[in-house]
Amino acid sequence: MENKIVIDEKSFQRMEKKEKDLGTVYHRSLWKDIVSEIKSNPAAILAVIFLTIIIIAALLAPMSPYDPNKLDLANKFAEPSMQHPFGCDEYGRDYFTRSLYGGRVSLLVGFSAMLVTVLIGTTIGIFSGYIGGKLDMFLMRFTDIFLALPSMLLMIVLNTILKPGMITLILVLSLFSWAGVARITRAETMSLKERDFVLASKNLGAGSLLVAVQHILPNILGPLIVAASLGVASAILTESSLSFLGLGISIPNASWGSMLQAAQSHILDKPMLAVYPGMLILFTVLSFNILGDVLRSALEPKIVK
Amino acid sequence: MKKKILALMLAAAMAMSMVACGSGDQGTAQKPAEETKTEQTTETKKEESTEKKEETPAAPAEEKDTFTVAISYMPDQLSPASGGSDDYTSMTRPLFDRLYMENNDGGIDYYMAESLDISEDGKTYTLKIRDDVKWSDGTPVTTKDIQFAIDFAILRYGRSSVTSINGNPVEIQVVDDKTMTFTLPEPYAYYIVSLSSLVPYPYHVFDGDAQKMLDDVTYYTKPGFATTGPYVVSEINEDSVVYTARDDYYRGTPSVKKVVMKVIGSGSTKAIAFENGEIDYMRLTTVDELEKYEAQSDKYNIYSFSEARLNYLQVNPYGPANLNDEQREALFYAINGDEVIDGAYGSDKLATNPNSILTPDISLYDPETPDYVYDLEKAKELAKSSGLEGMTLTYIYNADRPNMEAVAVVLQQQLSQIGVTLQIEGMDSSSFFPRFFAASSYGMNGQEKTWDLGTNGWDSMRGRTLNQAYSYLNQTNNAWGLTPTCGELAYKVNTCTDPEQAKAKASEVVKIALDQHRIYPLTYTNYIIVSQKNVTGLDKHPIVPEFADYLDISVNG
Amino acid sequence: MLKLCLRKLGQLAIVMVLISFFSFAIIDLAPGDISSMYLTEDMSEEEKQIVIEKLGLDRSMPEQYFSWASEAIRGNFGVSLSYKTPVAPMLMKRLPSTILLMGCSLLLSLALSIPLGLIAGYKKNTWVDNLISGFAYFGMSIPSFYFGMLMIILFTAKLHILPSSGMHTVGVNTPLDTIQHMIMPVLTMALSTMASKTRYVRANTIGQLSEEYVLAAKAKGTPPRKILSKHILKNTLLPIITILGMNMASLVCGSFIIESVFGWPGVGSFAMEAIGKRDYPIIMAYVMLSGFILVVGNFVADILYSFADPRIKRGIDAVHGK
Repeated sequence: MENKIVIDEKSFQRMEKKEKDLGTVYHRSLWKDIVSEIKSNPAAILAVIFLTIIIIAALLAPMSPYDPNKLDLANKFAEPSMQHPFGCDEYGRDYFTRSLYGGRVSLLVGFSAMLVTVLIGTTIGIFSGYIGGKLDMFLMRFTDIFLALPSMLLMIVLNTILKPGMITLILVLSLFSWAGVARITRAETMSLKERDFVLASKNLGAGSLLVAVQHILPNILGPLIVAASLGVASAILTESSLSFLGLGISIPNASWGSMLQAAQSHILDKPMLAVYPGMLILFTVLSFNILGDVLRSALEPKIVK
Repeated sequence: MKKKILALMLAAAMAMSMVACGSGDQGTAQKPAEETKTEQTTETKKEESTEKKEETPAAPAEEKDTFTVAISYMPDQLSPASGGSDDYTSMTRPLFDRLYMENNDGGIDYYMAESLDISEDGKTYTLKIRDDVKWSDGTPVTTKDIQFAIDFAILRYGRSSVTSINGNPVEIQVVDDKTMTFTLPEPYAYYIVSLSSLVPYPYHVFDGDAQKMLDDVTYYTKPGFATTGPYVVSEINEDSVVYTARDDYYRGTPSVKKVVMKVIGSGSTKAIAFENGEIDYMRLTTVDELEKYEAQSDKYNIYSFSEARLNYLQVNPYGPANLNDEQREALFYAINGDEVIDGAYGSDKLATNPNSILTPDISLYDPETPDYVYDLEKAKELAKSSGLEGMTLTYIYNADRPNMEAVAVVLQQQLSQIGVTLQIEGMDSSSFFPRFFAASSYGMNGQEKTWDLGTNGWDSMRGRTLNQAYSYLNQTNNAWGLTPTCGELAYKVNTCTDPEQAKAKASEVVKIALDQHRIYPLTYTNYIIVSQKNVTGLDKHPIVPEFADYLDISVNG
Repeated sequence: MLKLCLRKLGQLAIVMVLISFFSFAIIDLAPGDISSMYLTEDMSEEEKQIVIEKLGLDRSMPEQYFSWASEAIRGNFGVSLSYKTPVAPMLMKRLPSTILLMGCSLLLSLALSIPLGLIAGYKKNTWVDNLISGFAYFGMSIPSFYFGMLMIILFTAKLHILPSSGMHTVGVNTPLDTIQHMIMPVLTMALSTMASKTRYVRANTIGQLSEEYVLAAKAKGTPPRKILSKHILKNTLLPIITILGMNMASLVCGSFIIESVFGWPGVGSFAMEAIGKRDYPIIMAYVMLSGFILVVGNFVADILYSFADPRIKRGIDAVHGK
């Protein structure tokens, strides 16, 4: 019997397509990587869904019929019901609405702090790692100082000096976290600097800035995006710790951390007051962490599925 | 091979850096550098900590006759000269007695003093110490100890509260070992308060040398130092102190043989520790807590007494908003005192709506003093016409005091009804006092321009004088915006020797002060304690900070 | 190599000086000062001035800094403004408790995270991996004080098997008692560092597993356990080193909060009170102390890292013209 292998147009194209997918193409779309990685991981899908819901809910907070700060003592400690899905707090304020508004604050603080952190950290890290020499030494000492300062302690002191509010929080949070990003970026830059493709590019005559932007930055982008996602997570966590110590935004405005702090004194009798914001913090931070992980595996070229 | 060395160096480095920091005071055993196994290193550390514990008998804590109190931090020493916080005063109450204390009935409870006579003209105070009072090491308590305390205060602060009145010196004369006289330049009712806060220091321990006591850093850090109260310190641990009852205490032997003060974590840990039986009592500040424990009257006792405290709202004359008379009137009409109590305290069992800047525990208090009226419509009108509507005011409160945050929340809501926005800032005592008292006590340090409204409280408002209201009315630097008449009248009250006249003048000055719309009395608070069922006697001498008299307390079975 | 060490030591010293100045400046800017403990309403102007002078608060900031620094170099960290006793002995007295807590947490998290991470990485995407990873995520995402609170509620309030706070039961001196008091704080502190370490180990293991030498070892017939312990473990130690350096930071700072929640008598809770009282000698000493621990940690991490990764060492040598 003859084995007839039919090679037709379609199968030919199929083979071509397959080839494209297998190769490690340098300019492959970042976005495509991310999306496909997320799709394959059920936890990541959940994380993205959750974050989307939370962000949209936080944005839509003003649509709630309740004023988050208005007292209504008749409803003190009301149990969850149709009118009050999360019940009411010790002043009769709708807890669900407060959670939404709290989400706005926590998320905003988290994102902003992360942006500032990444911006400062990357700039300093790349410069320091790439240029090296005296500048590197000076910048690294500067970074070391910030890494060595007991951040929590000084954050508390700073918070007492500066006027309490969101700007202060963002400032203080980023002030003590850029150093970590700088260190990572510098380490990556330094080891990338010695890699062959960079040396090749330099030998071909590329100027420093060009090398930095075109070669190093894209390769750091992966870890950076990861650091960003994790940065939001850690900013939200730290903000909740600061609010717990009473240093967050001023009353009556809420952030998840300050809600936790207020709920603390009722925790034995009305534990749900602490559960809601605590769970919100937990799941939001969790989602950002999962996202960060997934992003890392999506953007690292080495991983074989 | 390289990697193995790496791992070893890593472990060594960790161990070294820990030992370097940990071998502070005692040359601790060198931790072997290769210990990466968890159990062994943990054990070594455990041994270290056991070695470092105080060398005191490890007798198991007795459950009977032991009274356990929660404290929020571990003091470094228990000297009668240190102070500053209510917690600390509570800690040293069982150790150092007063000469006497004003009680809530307008009279005096005598402790180390046998008598205090005030002459007809109110200028001479004669103090006599009891014959049987001794320090815990056997030495009798004499007037030398009182003089020593006065010398110490002068050395440390440059002044003592008993040595001068309004800048004029008080003549102090030691008559004999047990008697002393204080001759004032003019009658001054408040002097009885100053004298009661004078605690005798041990002359014999420091050879009468105040500098020696000031320089000393070890005497009050070890158990067994000389005390005048019913207890001596028998143990000082990292997170607790133990007091043991004396059997030579001049007023009798306390029924509670051991008092333990231990550090309890912040937040709700106190409630948990209490319900777990680890501590014997705690203060309640919300109505929910009160109701919860009232419902379990088979397990707990509830004690409630007046805290002799006035919490109030003050308008800052130096504040950036520069509020005029009409605006302040509008503000005060908008405040609903009953709702403040309801919202911040939850029940009038915890606090009542005051009508005066004096408390009912002061004999000069006049229940007829007209209170501020709540009238929202009028407030709105005045707010509009005076331009108050739409303003933003800075409001500060002391976060270390209970219920103050809740008061802020309620007031914010109330004032928003007349279009006033409050920018609220809470802070701890160390930041609060220099800001709130910037004009009056801190010599106008600039912070007086940073707030418009603030809440504060006067404690120990009991006795026969204007107490803290006196220095308020007799303000320095126009700190509170009152007219000079208030100060003059207050002075007259203080120097008046006829109680009827004093009372009349007091009513007058309170009315005048309230008419100026500068101070809004917010609460007369009650001090509510819940204790384990077998603990009794906590309210026999209802004076805060607790407990005035440890002889009252008993822990049964 | 030795040159590198010495250079780093020199830099360490400079960093410490800068830390101290920076912290001093921040603390000095803080509103409120220790004088609030001594001034009362009925004192006159001059009386208050005398007090303020006695506390040394009327001198300018640089003057205060230099007088502090010149003493600190000699080991004298000044006298606490609130306790009137020397600061250094007070800190040293409380340091062992904190070191105990920190040390046990560190060791526990290392001891658990390395094997867990290795297993999770090796058994990637199985239920074992999912369980361990899930646990790691959870540990990283929960605020430490919240977890501590939950533990206290569960173990003390509901189950009554562990004491809620403090370090010893009064009058009891046994190690068992200390362990009982230590369980919850150590677990709480170890949780967050353990979580991130586990994930790093796992990620690295996964990365290493795709390397060619693993394939070669498998082809040779080496059993999985040996592959893990002999080859992969050593390669994963590298990133752990840098993280250890930064973990020191979170341990020192975390001890702050955890000591307050559990009433643990260490330097963290001591420093917390000092901040509230604006007792700057104590605050400065604490900053220097924790700064020292962190800098030493980073220093060691740096040395080990450059020692271990030849590429970095080559890079550094190249810069210095070898």
